[in-house]
Amino acid sequence: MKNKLKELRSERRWTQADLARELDVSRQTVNALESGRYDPSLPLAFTIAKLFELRIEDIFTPD
Amino acid sequence: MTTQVRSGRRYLIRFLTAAALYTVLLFISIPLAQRQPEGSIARYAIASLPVIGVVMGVWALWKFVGEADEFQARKLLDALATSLAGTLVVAFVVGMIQFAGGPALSWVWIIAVWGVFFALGTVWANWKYR
Repeated sequence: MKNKLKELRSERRWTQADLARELDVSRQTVNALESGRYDPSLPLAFTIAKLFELRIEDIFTPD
Repeated sequence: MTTQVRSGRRYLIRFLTAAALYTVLLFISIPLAQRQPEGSIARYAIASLPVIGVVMGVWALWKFVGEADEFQARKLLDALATSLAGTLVVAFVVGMIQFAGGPALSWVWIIAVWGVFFALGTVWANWKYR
């Protein structure tokens, strides 16, 4: 699954640590999500979407 | 410090304490148990002392799965699955070799075998999602 996490984070000038703090996950988790090596669960995807005030499908798209 | 960093540190402290406790109790319990009369409850109880470290290790893993974020928990579960698979295969092969007349090995080694596969599984899970 592709995602725009890195792009959205950069727009807000957040570091991975900042985003990790907002989502209450580890920085490694943010790194794995951004690189597409790990796809989030639905609850985490909803949390991410809520944080960026977008819909899940605006952030995550199928390969 | 975030919740996740704290839970990671707690897990490390709990698990390393459990491993240290297991090792110390293992070295203490064997000579102590041998001083007790054969067949006595005290002998069996003292010989079983290292199980305290094992139970504490299981508790540390269990707590971490509940406290960690989903990605960290996923990596831990990958490592545990690897350790289970490796330990089962080794235990089965050793059992079959014994059945065929090979040397008998103590069950005590099963924890060490699991530990090796858990370490390998942890390295593999970290590499997989690096």
